[in-house]
Amino acid sequence: MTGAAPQTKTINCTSCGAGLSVLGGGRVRGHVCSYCGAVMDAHEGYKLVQQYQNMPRPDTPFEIGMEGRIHEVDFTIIGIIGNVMYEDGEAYRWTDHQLYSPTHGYAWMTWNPEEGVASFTRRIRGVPDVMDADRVRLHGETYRVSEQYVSRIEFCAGEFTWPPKVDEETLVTEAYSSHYVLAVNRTRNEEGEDEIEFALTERMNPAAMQEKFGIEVPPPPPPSVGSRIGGYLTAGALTSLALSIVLLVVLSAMSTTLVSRNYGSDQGPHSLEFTVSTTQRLHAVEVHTPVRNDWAYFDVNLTRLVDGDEVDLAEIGREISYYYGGSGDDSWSEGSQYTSIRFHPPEIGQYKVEVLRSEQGGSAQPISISVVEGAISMVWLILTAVGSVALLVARFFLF
Amino acid sequence: MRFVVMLLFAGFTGWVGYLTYYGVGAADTDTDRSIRQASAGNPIIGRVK
Repeated sequence: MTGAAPQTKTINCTSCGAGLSVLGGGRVRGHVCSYCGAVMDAHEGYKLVQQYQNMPRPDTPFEIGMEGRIHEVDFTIIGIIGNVMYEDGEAYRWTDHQLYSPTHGYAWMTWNPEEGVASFTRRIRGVPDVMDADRVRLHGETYRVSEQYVSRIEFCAGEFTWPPKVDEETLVTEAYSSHYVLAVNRTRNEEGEDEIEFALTERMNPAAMQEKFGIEVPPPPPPSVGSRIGGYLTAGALTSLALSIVLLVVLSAMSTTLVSRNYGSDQGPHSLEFTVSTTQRLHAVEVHTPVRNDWAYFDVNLTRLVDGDEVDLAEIGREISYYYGGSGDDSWSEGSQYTSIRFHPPEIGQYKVEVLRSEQGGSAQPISISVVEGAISMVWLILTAVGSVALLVARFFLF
Repeated sequence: MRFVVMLLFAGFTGWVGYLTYYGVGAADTDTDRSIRQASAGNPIIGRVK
């Protein structure tokens, strides 16, 4: 609480006799008894003008009589109004608090517990300039018309600048700038005439607003176990995803082509010698022939050269076949124009690979042969990256 | 705790990277077996497909 307690005047409810504080100034017109729901006209000697019973009390931590300092001005809450609006059959509720300052007059503080939003609203005298159907301008600021809804009063207690009525409706048109909300409030008075008011609303931090009015704000609850686990999983999955991508790029660049040669369409055997300098890394003999709707079969002999002798290590047979057809969405293909033989060399030294096209379907095609040191299979890294993404997606559904 | 979890995930990914770099499990099984046999002095038996 801020400020010294004011000397308050009291009256007795003209319906139930309860003592009621008079906190507002001379412009207060309606005074609603917090105990019995009697609406009295302050300008007519607190004459009873309406009586409401069983009004649903709105959800607000603020009470009549609380004092707080907003924008260096001391305000007192003198009235509370519970509002409701319906959209697609769903009810949205919020609470307006009539504020009064002896030096700055009347204002509103709005509390929306569902959205955790507090706001401070002052009525404005000026009329905004209409720029076009969607935009208005006021005090150098442009507002874009955003929404229109009908709010209805379902609770009132305390003092107001007019005698509020339960079920009284206001057509609200809201326009937003980057800082404020400009509201055009259209109501119908007792004479059946439309009354239009303009109000400027500023969003406030809900916790700060509670502190301004002396309400002890409980510290935010610690995140739930599920939320914490979800946070950890997100951090872990992002780490894994980033590292997988880096490794994919780096490892792809770390392969070395030891030897590569192109041959004509003769069947061979084509022979390449190469030097193995590490037995740790995977080596690959890669064979390419541009067959189309055709196939070819290759015999590949891998030999190690030791002191002029050849030690056979493996005799491998591989088919390359590639078929395609159709066009547009119906196009298809199967097979590949490549094959590769992956192995770990047993020792450092000289090796030889011989490639013979032993059989073929149609016409003979040229052959390319390469030997690569540091051949890698990306499948596990790709699976890790995909798993990380799956974990990130699952995290939003599970935690 | 968050750092520990990130470290665990990074460690797992690093291990996958290590396996990828050295081609663990990525060699043609029959070719590798034939090479091991031949290096041990055994004759090559049949053609690997």
